[in-house]
Amino acid sequence: MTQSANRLRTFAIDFFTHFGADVYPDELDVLVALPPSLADTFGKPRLYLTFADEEAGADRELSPQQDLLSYGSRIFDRMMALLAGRGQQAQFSLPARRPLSLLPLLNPAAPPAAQNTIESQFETNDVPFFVFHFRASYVWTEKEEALLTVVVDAAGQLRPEKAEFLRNGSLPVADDAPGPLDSDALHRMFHCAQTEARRQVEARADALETDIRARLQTIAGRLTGFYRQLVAELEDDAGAADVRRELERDLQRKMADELERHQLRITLLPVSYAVARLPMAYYRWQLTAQSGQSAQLFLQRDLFSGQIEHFRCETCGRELDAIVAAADAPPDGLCRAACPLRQKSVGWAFWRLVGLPVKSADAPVSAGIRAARYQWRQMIMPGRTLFVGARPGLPVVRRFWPRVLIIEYPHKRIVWRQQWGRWRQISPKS
Amino acid sequence: MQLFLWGGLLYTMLMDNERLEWLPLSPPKAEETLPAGEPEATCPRCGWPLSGAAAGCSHCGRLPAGPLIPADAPAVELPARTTETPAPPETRSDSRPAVPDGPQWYNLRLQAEQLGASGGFSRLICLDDIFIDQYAYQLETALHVLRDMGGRALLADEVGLGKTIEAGIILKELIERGLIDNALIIVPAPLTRQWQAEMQHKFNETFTVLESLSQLPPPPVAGQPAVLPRGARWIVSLSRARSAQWATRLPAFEYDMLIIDEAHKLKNHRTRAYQFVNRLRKRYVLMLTATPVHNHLLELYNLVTILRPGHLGTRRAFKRTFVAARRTARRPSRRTVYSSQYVPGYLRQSKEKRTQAQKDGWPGLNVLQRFDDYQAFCDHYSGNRKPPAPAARREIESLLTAGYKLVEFESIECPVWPRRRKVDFVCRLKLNAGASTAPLAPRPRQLTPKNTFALRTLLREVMVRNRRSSVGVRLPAREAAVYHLNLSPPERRLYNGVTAYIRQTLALLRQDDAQRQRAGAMRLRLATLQRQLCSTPQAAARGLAALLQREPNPHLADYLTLARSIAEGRKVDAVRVILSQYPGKMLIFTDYLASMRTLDAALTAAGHKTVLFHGGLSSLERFEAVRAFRRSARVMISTRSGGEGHNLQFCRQLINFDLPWNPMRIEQRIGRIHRLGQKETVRIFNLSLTNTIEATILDVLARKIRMFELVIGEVDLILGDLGDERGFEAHIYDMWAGSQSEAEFLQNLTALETLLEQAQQTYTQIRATSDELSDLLGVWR
Repeated sequence: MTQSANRLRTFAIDFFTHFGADVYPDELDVLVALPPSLADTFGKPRLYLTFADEEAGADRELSPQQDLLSYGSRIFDRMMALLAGRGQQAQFSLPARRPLSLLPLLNPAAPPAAQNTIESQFETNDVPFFVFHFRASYVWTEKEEALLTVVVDAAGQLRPEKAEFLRNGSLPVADDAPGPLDSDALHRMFHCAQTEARRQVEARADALETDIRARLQTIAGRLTGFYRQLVAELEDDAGAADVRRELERDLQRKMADELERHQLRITLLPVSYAVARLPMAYYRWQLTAQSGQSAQLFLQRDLFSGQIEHFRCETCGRELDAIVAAADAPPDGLCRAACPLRQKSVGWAFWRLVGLPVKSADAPVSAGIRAARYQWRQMIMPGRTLFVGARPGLPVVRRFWPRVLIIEYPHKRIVWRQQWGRWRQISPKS
Repeated sequence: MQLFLWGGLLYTMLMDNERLEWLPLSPPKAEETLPAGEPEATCPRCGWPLSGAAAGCSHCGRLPAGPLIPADAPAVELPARTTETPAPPETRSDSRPAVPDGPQWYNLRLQAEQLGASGGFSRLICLDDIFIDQYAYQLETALHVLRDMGGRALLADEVGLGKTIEAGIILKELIERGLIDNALIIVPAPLTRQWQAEMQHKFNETFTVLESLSQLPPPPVAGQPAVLPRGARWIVSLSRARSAQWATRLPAFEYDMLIIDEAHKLKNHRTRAYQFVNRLRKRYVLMLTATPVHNHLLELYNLVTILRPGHLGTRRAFKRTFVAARRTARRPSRRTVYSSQYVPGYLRQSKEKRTQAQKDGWPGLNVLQRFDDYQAFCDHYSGNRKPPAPAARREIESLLTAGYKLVEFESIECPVWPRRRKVDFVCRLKLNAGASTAPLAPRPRQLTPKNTFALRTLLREVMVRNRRSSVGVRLPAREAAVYHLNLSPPERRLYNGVTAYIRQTLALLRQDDAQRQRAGAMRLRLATLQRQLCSTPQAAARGLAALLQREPNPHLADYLTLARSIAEGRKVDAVRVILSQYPGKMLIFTDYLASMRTLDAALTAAGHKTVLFHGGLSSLERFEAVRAFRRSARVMISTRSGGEGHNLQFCRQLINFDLPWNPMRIEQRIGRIHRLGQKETVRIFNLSLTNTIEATILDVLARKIRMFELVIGEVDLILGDLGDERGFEAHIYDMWAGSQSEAEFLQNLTALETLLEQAQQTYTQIRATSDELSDLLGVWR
């Protein structure tokens, strides 16, 4: 069965189950015994749903008892009619599916680096996110539709990373009693989301119009050239002027028709919205260096999807591209390079997050190091650079996608590579 | 006893004259091989062939090393896009917050919206809402037209490959995507109802056949645009649409979809039909024809220009670029005076010299020498080595030989600009064609294309031509036989008596003005009765009983008694004979329920397992009937609705128990078994009662049109060329109803046969033309 047929089948099972029908799925088809209310709508007490299978091709013959369900079929239209006006708003909580601690993320095979200490503490909270779905239709000589999902957090910030899983129509929502919604807040969030949806729509429309414009230019050139040649081929006689005027009118009419046909018409309709409460966990890391210096680091993680929030600049709120470990203040340019506002230097005190030594639990460690068998996998996105200080003696750590790690000391450079789940130093040869 | 024996012997002798005649059918054509093309230099922008001497493309003006768009071509500004973003009421700050649905509703709604979002023409979404056998080439054609041709195409598939289905798929797809709201289909008059039925049964779209101006919305107020009613679906015949009253009303509307069947009827750009269609405003347009070219490549040009004006350039440029030059004289008309102007080199004259020549009465030419006498002209040029003169003299001589009389003659000699080393001449003459009795020479056909590669490239953007060889469609051979039967004496008495009554009644209807009002319905009843007489006595009895209820008549009552006394008609026995001689499943078509029941009883008594198929069955019962026929029953007896929408390719034998007068209905019957998917040779048995009207019609169809040799759809093309929109059945009916006797009917039929022969020949020629042209151009998808 094709993927689209599978999705239809899942939808059909969910739909009829929700409406109180008895659903008996077999290998390919689904038998549905309808309750009396639905039997009237569908015209019979039972439906034997079968799904379009492109592999069967033209040889497939349906019996009158079978009901073909696919987009555009009458059964699908009736199902959509039953959903009309429903499901436009919801409130739900999503369960925590990840363990609370970050420690299981860490890999015992960690690359070596300066000895550091990492400690974590955490707390959890249910955080509301406002999910808005819009249907965008682009109509010109063709038609394209897309479902856009925009997620906004309580602070009014866009959260595109949440949209990926919150647009799923099969979320394992917990049964929640809906609470009151602050309509003003909702109104603000909607406008924020609509602005973002409009931006996405306009971006897509720009791309479409580039193609449409090129096509229209070709058509206009063809028509103009054609009518010009027709006029040029007219012989000089009494009726030529009338014919010329008629040809010009014809050209204008045809051009107007083509412009009208190629005009892009966009409709952005809100489909539904929801307030989804996600279980978030907050972590505080205490980092202690060999020298005894320590720093604090705050992380948050979505316990439903497992996404870890990247560090954000306190000033501008954007995700940071570089983390500077400095005793007092970051060197010039490092945080500023990430923060476009350049208004104040941020007094971070971070420490490096990678380059922890591969050591067994009972191996002796340098003073100041707790037992550590870590490697960050999810916290550090490949391609990002984590600076560890511009202070002399502190190394700079860069990780490349996904298995190469370079640690640059002032006097040397060490390159590590992950192979078969273990990190091995490849330069200089160990 | 002797009398009885004598009577019995006579009966046997009559039966001995019966025979099963197998119709001679032409062997199948050898499979064509498609030629490879040789690339020529073509403009990368428009595909027009580039001539080495020209600085740029003569079609779009693209300069070889310059910008794509010529400097003076106007830049097109797209109209500003419109974006509608209504806000849901719940999110307005002034509204009260609503109680939200549960998350299960939300999830369902979200799934449905995701399933419903259509992302362009990557796949067809309408297929499950239509009732057709799906063939890959048809679906690919529909997608190709939608995706790559913008919904504007010339569908030129070979006959029988399903252009109507392809058009229906495209139409339905655009409807389901919300891209079209209204549609207009223009077809030949005999096909309006057929299209209506196909759209309804196969595509679930209800179309209205326009027959009266009152069906159209009233004309709008001055200055206001004409608006079509929402969801308008119209079918109109071409002859009606181009008539004066309709031609002013229909173009006032803008149509989302325009479908034109038999589009080759628009091959001449001077006709009202062409000008009417060209004026219609349409977003999408499909033109269907199996024969896009008949005599001249310009016919193809005309069709393409409706789809995309300027795609093949102007007419003159197209001829110059794509039609191989051929000097032909204009074919003289019998009724008009022939006038010829032979002007080689004319176009090279400068403007000054043209002005000078205009003063001399010769527009655009510089006159060196003038001749007013044909003899002097011939004497001057005799032995002259200048090339044009001998050719012109030969042309004039051939016309004179053909019987034309020279009325006026004038000729001049003029120089070829810019040097006078060469001269050309202009010959202006008038000939009187009235005295000529020589047959007109056929119009020379100009079909040889040049620059075929470029032409092919251009045509591929607007035209799709599927051929059986390219889509892998092979229809098996077809064998047809006519079983000539003699009516038994009581049946003959019944037939002759009732036929005489019918003729008398028709004669009375023609004469009596007072009867004229009910004449139409009465004629129809009588025609039905005439056909029932050729079926079974039971069908005739039913017809007679119905007629007697309206027209009490003692003679008719006697015939009714006679009909009821005949237990079994001759045809029923013939069916038994055929079934005994030819094993395998048999599909029998009859038009009458009474005949169906009689047949059923007779065949069941003979030990055959039968299944019935008629319009009174529910869809489930029909399905069960077809399944029973496939699995266990040997015979299916069906009425007109038989097999519609069901696959019967497992059966390869068919009996036309009753013969419809409309050959397209016969074709539809044959098409139930002789179709894509049939693997074996198909046998068609036609029962013909000698000395009846049925035998006459069958003879016309089998021998004149040779319809049993034709592919599905070809009959329609031949009969469409009769030049009369009423259709073959209407022709036959009028001829029969207007004849005083059988002899007069046969005489009238002879004229129709001549027309049919010509139509057959014309069609054969046209088909050959289209085939060789598509071979040459290789325009297939």
